[in-house]
Amino acid sequence: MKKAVRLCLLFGCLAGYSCLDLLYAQNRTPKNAEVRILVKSVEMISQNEAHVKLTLINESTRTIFFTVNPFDVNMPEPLYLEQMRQKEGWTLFGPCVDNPPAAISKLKPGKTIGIDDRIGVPTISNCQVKPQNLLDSFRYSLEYFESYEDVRAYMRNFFPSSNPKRPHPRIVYSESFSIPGGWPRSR
Amino acid sequence: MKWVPTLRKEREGWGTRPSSSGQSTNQPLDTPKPPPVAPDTSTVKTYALEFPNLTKCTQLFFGPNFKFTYNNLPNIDGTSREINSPSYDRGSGYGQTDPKFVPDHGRATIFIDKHFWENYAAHYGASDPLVVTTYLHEAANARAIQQFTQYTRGTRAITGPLGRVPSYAQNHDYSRDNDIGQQFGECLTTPNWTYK
Repeated sequence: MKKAVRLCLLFGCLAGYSCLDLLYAQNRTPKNAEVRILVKSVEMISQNEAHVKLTLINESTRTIFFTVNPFDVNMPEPLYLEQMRQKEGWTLFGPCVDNPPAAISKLKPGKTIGIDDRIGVPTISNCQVKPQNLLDSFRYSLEYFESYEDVRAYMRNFFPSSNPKRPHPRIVYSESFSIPGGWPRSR
Repeated sequence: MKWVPTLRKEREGWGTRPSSSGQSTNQPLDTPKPPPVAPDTSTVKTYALEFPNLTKCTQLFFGPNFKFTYNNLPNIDGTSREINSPSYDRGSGYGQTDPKFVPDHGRATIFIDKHFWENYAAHYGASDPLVVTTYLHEAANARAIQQFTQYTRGTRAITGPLGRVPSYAQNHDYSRDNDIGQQFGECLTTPNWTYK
């Protein structure tokens, strides 16, 4: 009898641990984990500017499509940047897209591309929300599609933003990262 | 240093909220003030043409044969688009250049966020530097679409000055806006600006 109780307890504990582990994993893993943005390196290049190297990985079984800068096809556009703020949570501050994206790139299954980006403050852009410092955590997000037709329709119907013909993209978030020696050095 | 337009010196009250009757704004304190009125688009254009460095930057970006005039500056639509819409909060700016509203020749129309136009611009007036630079930012994008015809339409507003291939710094502009309007705005507002 005691052995049966012990076995039950053991299995119960194992099942509970598995459930907790699963929950934890679900919280940490983005919903669309098949496409990922990894942060390779973050380096301050001046007092108020950081250079970030990213890798976009397609671990899904389908080719993905996204919009890019036609002069630099390794630069997804728009590549959104968010900052974790104490009150507001993740706050997107750019880019403020005032021109529709102009070119399309694709990434086949199992392929990766390297992305170079720069983050700086203070900005003088026409964005309504601006980063105030480089101290808090950041993350990138990228909109992508699983069909060429959808990304074409997205570009054609980019403005106005409320256009019902504009297909909804999937969104992949990078892991969050902080900038070592971020500006200003002390609050 | 804050930019003070010369017109303000010449026309007293220019750029400030006018009274609805056009008379003195010295009202008793208990009289409710009328809500601010969005600026007249022609007044914004007037201030845009007076903006410091406009001639120099226009030549740098669009060559010696072009200059902005009252007749070729784009129209402003500040009432029809919620660029900062709650349903679309990803990267909301104050202005928008929609290539569909930029004809090959003639006057384009650029869009200013409805809330920005009806609140901020109404409150601070047509002479406010943010209002004027936002307008000129989009005006430069519209001009690039009309002028740099060697590229596809969608590409023209993200070229460098004079339609050149943009630099690495422009493509990765840390302000997160890599269009020609952003570079033009930086030229207008930064002393001794050079293209990098």
